[in-house]
Amino acid sequence: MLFAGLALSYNLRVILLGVTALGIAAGVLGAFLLFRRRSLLADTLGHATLPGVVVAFMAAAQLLDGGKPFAVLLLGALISGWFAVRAVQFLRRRTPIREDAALAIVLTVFYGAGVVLLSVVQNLELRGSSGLELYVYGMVASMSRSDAWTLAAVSVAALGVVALLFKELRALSFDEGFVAARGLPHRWLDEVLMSACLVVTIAGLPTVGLLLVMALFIVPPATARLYADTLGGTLVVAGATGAVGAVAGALASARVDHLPAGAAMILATSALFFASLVAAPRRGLLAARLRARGERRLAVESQVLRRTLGEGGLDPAHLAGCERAAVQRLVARSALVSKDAGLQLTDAGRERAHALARTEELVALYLERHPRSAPARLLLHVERIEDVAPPETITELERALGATGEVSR
Amino acid sequence: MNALRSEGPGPGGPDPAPAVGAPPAVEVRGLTVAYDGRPALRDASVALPAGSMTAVVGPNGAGKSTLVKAMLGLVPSVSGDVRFFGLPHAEARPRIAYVPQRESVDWDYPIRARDVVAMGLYGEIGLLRRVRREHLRRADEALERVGMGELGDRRIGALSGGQQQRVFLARALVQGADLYVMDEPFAGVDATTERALLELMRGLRAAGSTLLCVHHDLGTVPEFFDHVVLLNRRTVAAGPVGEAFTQPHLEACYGRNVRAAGPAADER
Repeated sequence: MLFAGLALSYNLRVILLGVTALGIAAGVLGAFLLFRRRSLLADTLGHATLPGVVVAFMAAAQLLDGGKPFAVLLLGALISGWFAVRAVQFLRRRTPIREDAALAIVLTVFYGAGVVLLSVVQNLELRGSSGLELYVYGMVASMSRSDAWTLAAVSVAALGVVALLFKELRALSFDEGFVAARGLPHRWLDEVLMSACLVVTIAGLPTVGLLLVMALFIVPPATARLYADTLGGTLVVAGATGAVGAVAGALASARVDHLPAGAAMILATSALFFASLVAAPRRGLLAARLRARGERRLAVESQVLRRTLGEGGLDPAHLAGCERAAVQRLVARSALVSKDAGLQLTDAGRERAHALARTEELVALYLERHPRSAPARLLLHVERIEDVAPPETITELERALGATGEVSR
Repeated sequence: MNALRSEGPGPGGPDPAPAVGAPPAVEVRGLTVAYDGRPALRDASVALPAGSMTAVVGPNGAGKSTLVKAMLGLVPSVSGDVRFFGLPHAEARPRIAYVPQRESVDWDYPIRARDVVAMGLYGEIGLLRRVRREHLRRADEALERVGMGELGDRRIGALSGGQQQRVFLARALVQGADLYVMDEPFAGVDATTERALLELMRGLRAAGSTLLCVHHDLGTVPEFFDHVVLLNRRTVAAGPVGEAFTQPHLEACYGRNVRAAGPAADER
């Protein structure tokens, strides 16, 4: 068992189950937000719950006596989050204000109101008002077993919604115009997605805190984009990243006194993100660096080969630094040989040089014939016209080249 | 003055005779659309006979995309009446396929070509139901028809611009519509794709479908289309290419210095 060596109490295990579900649900929902360019929504939702929590606390202090009004506070958070969603939708659909501004306006107005209310409450010195900070920063230690089960249930329900509406949410996040034109209920789908995010946000408040709950929606999908090529894969990686980060953060928070769980989870998740950013195969920074170096080398090598072909040999004395390295590699691959104090092409090298020259002419012809449609990448990757031009076009160009006999083999 | 029509009876061929008494495929009357209180389109009226292939042309900002989007209810209109095959939009919707501008979506989205095409079947599959192998097979057939039979597994981001446009057309094809509304289908595609798309579209017209395309290249209008709508925030002229695509109309639409050959003609 994963945690066998850690000797976890039953309580902590239940809590870890809860935050695992939270991490998965937030990561998966966050992926859809990311594709809809709406990641900020999670931030707005988190902050917008504050006035609801505080008002609910005041109401509970007046009306109820004693006991921890946990459910009441979450209900308050839900109501104020719901109003925030309505406000965002209203600004977005009915006014010229754009989405990013709408999200920022709602976030600041709601959070500002919440901070004012919070200071009022704390001045009143009501019993238990210090516990409100819990909702701002999050604390695993205070989580009860039933809280954890609720968290797990809500997260699983949200995942169920995603599973049921997978194809619709995929279409919505790829091409909303098409979904609308097709008569699919795109507004309804949008509301469902937002509601799922809202409910998961609220469920995560006591653990993560309202300031940082957004990160569980944003960082895992951003990590997943570095690996996955399919939507399913993105969701899986995002969910896994969210789960690992949440569990690591919760464990740390449970073991270290006064370590806020939200901050610990976000740091753990971010560590995964940064590691991926550097080391992810293909899309990581390291991979990009290596690829760029490979392409640069290839470019210099082809230059050297074509020059040797054109000039019928190469004088090693007239080589720039990077060319010297390229010559060494070409000699090692027996495309070039040293002969009579000069460099000559081998048969294989000659063939390669001819192919390169031909590609170059094809590209030139392509740009001349189809200036509108020639992909910009063509200019950068002279090596691989096959990858950027449709096969029919290549056939056409080759026929045209062959007809004019520009290439001598 | 007559340079335009000197090419004889446009290569678009004789206009397909609409069935007597059949309602037009598209009938727009008095359509007005406003953005931020400014009219983007004023009192536009268009009638397209069933089985026609129509270009919507006009200068930048003339409201070409707005016209088709408002027709399909994608942007709210201030006033106006739109009917398809004599029916209101909601009833005619399953018979209409929309091909958005290629730039309107994020081509980095992690999805395969086949799955994009299968979206054309979502109306038929229904909410909450899964895409089945049968649906993917039909998506592959549609890809085959646009000459991309081998590329169903490709991530859309790895396709060229022309191939992406073909995927969009395949998504419309798989839906089996009677009316195809396309926003700039030829924008930024290679010459081969342009020809392939044109052949396909002509095939659809021959099979009785109606096509409406926002188009940017005046030079190819007489060659590609049989009907034309000249738009500049209002309908300047609309009708068969031979009647509507005239130098006076073009000047009324674009201003004095437009040539019938079109600005993009020097590229071909």
